[in-house]
Amino acid sequence: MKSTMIKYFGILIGFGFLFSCTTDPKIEDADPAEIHTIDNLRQFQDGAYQIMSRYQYWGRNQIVAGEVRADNVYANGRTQRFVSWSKMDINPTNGDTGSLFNYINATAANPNIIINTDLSALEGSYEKEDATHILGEAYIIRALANFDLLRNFGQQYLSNGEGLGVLYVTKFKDEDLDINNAPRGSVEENKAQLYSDIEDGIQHLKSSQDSQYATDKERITLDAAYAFLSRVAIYFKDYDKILSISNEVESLINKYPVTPSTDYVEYWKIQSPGPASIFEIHLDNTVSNEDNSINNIYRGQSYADLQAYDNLLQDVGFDTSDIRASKAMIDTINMFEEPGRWRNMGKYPSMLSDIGSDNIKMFRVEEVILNYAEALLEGENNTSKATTYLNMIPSNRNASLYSQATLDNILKERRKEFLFEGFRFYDLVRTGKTIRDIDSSTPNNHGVVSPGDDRLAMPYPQQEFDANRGTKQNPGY
Amino acid sequence: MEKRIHLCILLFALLFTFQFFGQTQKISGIVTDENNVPLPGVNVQIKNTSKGTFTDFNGEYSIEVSSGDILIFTSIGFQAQEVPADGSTSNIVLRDDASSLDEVIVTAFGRKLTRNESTASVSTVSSEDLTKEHFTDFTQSLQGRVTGMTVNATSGTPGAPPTINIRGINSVTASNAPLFVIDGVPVNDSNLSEGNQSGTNSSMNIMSLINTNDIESISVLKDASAVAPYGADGANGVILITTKSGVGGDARYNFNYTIGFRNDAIKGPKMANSLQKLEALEEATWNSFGPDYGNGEITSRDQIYNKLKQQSEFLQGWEDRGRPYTNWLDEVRIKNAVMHDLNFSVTQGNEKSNFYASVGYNHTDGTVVSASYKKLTGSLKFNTNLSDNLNLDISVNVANVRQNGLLENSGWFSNPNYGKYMLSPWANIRDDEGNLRYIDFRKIAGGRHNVVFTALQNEHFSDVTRGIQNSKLEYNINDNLTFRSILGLDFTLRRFKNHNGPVHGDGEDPHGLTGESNLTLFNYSTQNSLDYKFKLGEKHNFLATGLYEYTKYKNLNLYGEGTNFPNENITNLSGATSSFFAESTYSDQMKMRWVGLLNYNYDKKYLVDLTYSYQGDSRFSEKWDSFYSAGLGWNLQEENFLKNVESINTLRLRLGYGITGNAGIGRNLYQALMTYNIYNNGPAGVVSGYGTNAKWEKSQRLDIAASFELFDYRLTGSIGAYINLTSDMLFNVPLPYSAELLNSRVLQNLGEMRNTGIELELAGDLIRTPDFNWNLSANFSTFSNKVTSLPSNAEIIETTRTVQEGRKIWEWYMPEWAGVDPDNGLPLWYVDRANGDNSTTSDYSKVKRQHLGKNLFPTYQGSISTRIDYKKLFVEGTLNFSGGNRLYENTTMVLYARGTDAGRINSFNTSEDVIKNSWREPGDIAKYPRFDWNDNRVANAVSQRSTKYLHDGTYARLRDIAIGYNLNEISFIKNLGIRDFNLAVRGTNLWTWIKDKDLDWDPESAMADPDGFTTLKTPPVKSISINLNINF
Repeated sequence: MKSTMIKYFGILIGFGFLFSCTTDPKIEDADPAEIHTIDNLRQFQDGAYQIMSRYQYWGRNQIVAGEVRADNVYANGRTQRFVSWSKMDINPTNGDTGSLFNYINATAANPNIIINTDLSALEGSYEKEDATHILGEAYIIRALANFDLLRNFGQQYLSNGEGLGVLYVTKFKDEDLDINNAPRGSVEENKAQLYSDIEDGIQHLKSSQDSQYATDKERITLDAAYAFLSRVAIYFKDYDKILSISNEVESLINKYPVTPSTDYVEYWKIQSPGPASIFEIHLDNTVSNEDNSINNIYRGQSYADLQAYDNLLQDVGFDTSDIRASKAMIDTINMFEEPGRWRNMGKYPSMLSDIGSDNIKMFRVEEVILNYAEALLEGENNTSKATTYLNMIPSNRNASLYSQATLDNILKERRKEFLFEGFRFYDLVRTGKTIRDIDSSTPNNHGVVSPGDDRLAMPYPQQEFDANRGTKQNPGY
Repeated sequence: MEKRIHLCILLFALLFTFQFFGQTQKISGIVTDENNVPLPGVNVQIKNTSKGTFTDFNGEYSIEVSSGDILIFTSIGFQAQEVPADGSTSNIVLRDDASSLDEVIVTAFGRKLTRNESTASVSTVSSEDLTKEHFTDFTQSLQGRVTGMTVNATSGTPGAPPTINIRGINSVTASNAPLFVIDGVPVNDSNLSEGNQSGTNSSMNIMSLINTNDIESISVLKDASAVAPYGADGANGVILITTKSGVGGDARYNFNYTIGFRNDAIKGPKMANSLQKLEALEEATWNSFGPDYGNGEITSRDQIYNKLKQQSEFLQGWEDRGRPYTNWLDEVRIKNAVMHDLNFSVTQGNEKSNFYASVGYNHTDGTVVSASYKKLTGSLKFNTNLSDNLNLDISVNVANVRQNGLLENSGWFSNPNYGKYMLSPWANIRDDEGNLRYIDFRKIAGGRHNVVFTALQNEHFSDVTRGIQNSKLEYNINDNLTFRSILGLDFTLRRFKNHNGPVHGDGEDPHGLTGESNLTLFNYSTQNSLDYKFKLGEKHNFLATGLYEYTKYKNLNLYGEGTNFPNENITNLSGATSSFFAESTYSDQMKMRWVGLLNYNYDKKYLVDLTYSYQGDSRFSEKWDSFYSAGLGWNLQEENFLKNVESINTLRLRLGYGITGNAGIGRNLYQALMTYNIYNNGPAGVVSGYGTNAKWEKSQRLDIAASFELFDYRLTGSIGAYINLTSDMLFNVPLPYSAELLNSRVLQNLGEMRNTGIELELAGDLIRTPDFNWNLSANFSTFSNKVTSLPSNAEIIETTRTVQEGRKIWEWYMPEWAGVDPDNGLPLWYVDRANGDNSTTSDYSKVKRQHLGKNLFPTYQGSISTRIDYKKLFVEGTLNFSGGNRLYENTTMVLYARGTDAGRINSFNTSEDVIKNSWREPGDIAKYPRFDWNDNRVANAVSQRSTKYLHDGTYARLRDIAIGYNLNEISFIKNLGIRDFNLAVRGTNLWTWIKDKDLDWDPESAMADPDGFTTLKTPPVKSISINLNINF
């Protein structure tokens, strides 16, 4: 009896003292935000693609930003999503604008870590070319993020602007940069930085063509870098820039076949990059944006906020035989209370339990072709060559050909080809066109927006403005 | 039955008689309370021996004593009494504990001191008070009972936790929740909402797993002297829970049953009916387009109806279905939701051992369709003397709760508390056969769900099991020295399931969605301490304690999700066929502390309390720090100059100073963290945290108080004041987005804040006669808060509030509403009154936000209670009030739709207030702008934040009102062997007064919201209950 008691007593005391001796809480202080191996490097760069794929950026909002502010679609207000974008009456506190700004910036974080890491000192054995390729991807993605930041928030096409671009950050956690008081760069500076990053990227990608990643269409490749360069140049109407790489562009166009009309609908349905794709952001049903996907905002049961203008087909001017105007691509479906309203059916088509699992097609050869046609026309007045390139598209769409390329019909073809993909707003802005009000009876309409209007730039988000005192707001906000 | 009991008593008495036969003399008597009611189970002990006995059912005792012995009479709830054992009869009257500042209070680490030995500020709530109102957890019963402590219900869903603040809010970023300690052991107060989909489902309070009826008392520690022993966990106050222990003597049973009926505490906003909605639609259309609407076909407003029908599917559909009217508020509400609460306990003991055992059952229906709550509890506390100087105390408490909750707060379409405001009265809830409509429901309700259907179809439940086991061994080494060792185990398993059925609602697109999470919380705590009690000379009394405590917390959450279910009857994860997702998270935390406590008094006249705590916590990069306090007390009544003043029973001054800390932040934040997501089926790293060398916040506290008892304890009270200076405050400093971090914030120690307050307590027996007693008591506290230092880069400027130097914490900051322009019905705001610009504008972008000098926290609160006892009848009531704060109506979108965005009033609904008080014609002084489809200035005004939606939070509530009767004297009951038979009818929250007539929402839940926003959660409830309490 007594011994049992003492045993119990001993256990309790022992218990207490056991812990007092052994458990000074210790956790290793490793900085996980450092790159040590080639695997780290790959994972960091893929982190940037992953952020891009979220709905706050390319998974939805970036595409919406290029559509809802133009003359293709409007927000019907069903769930109040994108109403203020549709009206072009955006507050600095607008959530989607803030998250777009945030995600674009965050996309550049990992590329910045990669670019500022000494890749010659990675641990273990690995293919040097792979490291070089990833570094090339990092430069291109940093440029891509800053380009999107600039074209959404910069003052390049404003008449009241001061030529302000964006803060082009080149190092993650940069000790030399007071992030709480860092002014915006000028558009010109940004442009130079963009071109320099793209140039660096191209150099690294070029010198790593034997890397296993060189043909991976779900990551940046050399071809994607050229496609991106043509997009940037077209945006700034730097036609000479495109013409200066005409060899590369032409060989790229030869390498990627334009999707034939017979495959066009299927091209959007397949869950991996098709022949015409140069770069796609990977999504599938385990990583989909689900309810927040671009699919759901176009036609999902729960949101379906973005619908096409009633007279869109006439306004775009599709031929009846055009595959892009077929029922598989655009149709009137009976959604809720609004029978007979046009909706995007063909692009980002997955629905129900697979909703949002379509890749985002970032660069298609068709874009490079139309960019090139425009550069030929506007840059060196080579109408016949421009017409040839322009007609590569309608000839593959069951549509009538153009007798002669003009800026207007190139823009018209771009509108048909890239409908619902987020191009239209930027095409109108960069070419100085008025954004028309094609149906004033629709709700949440922005009305007529003239070239140079303050509203062509989104407001700097409130948090950026509050936390970074060096920032200046765009005019009109 | 009765005979058997009597037989037992006889045998028991004989046992004692024979046991001590042949010893010296025998003394016997009867022990009663002040009202002459015999007290059974009173411990009668011979001082300095282990010899003792208990009184029987009739309060009688009998014990063998030697001459010169002193008898000690002790019983819970009464003051101990020491009586010399003279003569053969000694009748004792025990005085009620609650009427005296001499009562024993439980302080840090379970140390028991009498009030006149301690300098700590400790408020005690008795078991009687805790069990008055029948909430699903004891924390809600604390509302209004502790001076300086604010308790507000976050939701009326049974099981939902309240928000508790002791002496205001002391931190912006770290936790403001107090530390919970049960029987000396810190327990887990983790949020059980972890892993249940970002808190969009009903939350569940882990304290709900403690049966209120098993609690003996709760001590709330408030000042530095009281909380400093808990060091870095003490800054928000400490709630010490003492559970019921066994009582000596024969078996004593308690049976307690309550049935209650619950409803929303206040009516809440009223929505338009189907005709009012039509009227609003017509008005809005006419105002917007006039005759243009029909392309010239219409010339007057009454013609608009036919045109509208062609344009609005909703209207046409309503017409086609025979103009139904669905009152969604009524459909969602469960009237007179029933609550049953059943408890049974037994206690028994002899001079060696005693136990307390209980079982409990509670079933509470929610006031919203489909919500319910069920709880089963069992407990055992066993105490035994292993030898003369070794005592073992073992307790086990196990409980299971099943909470059938709902979607709450967010604007998710299946949240019934959202749907009841948003859904169109034109959308019929049932089809022609009388079944809940779902097939075409979205079509007739603007895409929204039939929330009654989804609430019944979907599952949102938490099933929680918690077991708490404590072992305590106490060894009296000698008269002065006691060693104590405690091991406490606390295990909680929470299963959460969310199932959205495939038939209708959120589960429709993915054809059914299920998410299940298992959260396992385990913590253990071990304490070893040494008490040394000694005297120097006659008058210097010391109690010194050295203590070591180690606590470890382990949290594991496992979550799985899947979609695409074969049919609506299969809801478990194994039925999912796509979109599989699984994750698990594990975190642990260790805390250690070495504590030294010294309590000294000089002849019970001058008191000194010193505490020191050296503490380590794994949450920070710098893990160790020390905390301390000093308290002084002066019992003036012991001084010669007051000793003879009969009217003064007690007069004590207290002064305390100390430093505590707040470590209430997430685990492992000090590390820079990567999150690994998936890109293209491979890992993709994303920087998710900057890492930080932030450490705990420190709080300096100064406390001064005077307490008194006057006129034979008829008037008691205290007055006190405190200052808390919080420094090294933790801030999640916003980073610009250009910092390239997805979550653009980093934790830093910056800034200082000052909280001050005055606390008053007063209680008096206005009438004290044998048959009639009238007691009145009140408490009142003030709170004042100022951020005294904060670098501008750490300022928090949100859309409606700020944290800035020189201002209150979370001070409201928004444009000022200037009313509706009487000329044209447009909204008006002041441009910038703070800078002298008194002009108004309808252009919101021209308006400057203003600092408003108020925040969500009340500047004062109080409670007034009274109780009248007349013979066997009692009546009592408690009124709680608070005010001086402002609350923001964040739910404007659901109420004030103006038909301005297309489809809004067309598809949804608006409040009756909007219909009645909108601008109609020039000259109207209206509450709301005009109806207009087209004008953005009107359209956006609904969501443009301004003081229009900021309301005075001052309110008062009749917390408790009751009438009860003691039926002991009825012979039928007496014959059943029942000692005590009480019946009471009680009302909780029956009446509420809200100062701001424009505030239609319950202020309590808005105050419980961390943002001070009104929420779309279940409103707090009122109830009427009938309680039966039987002791036998």
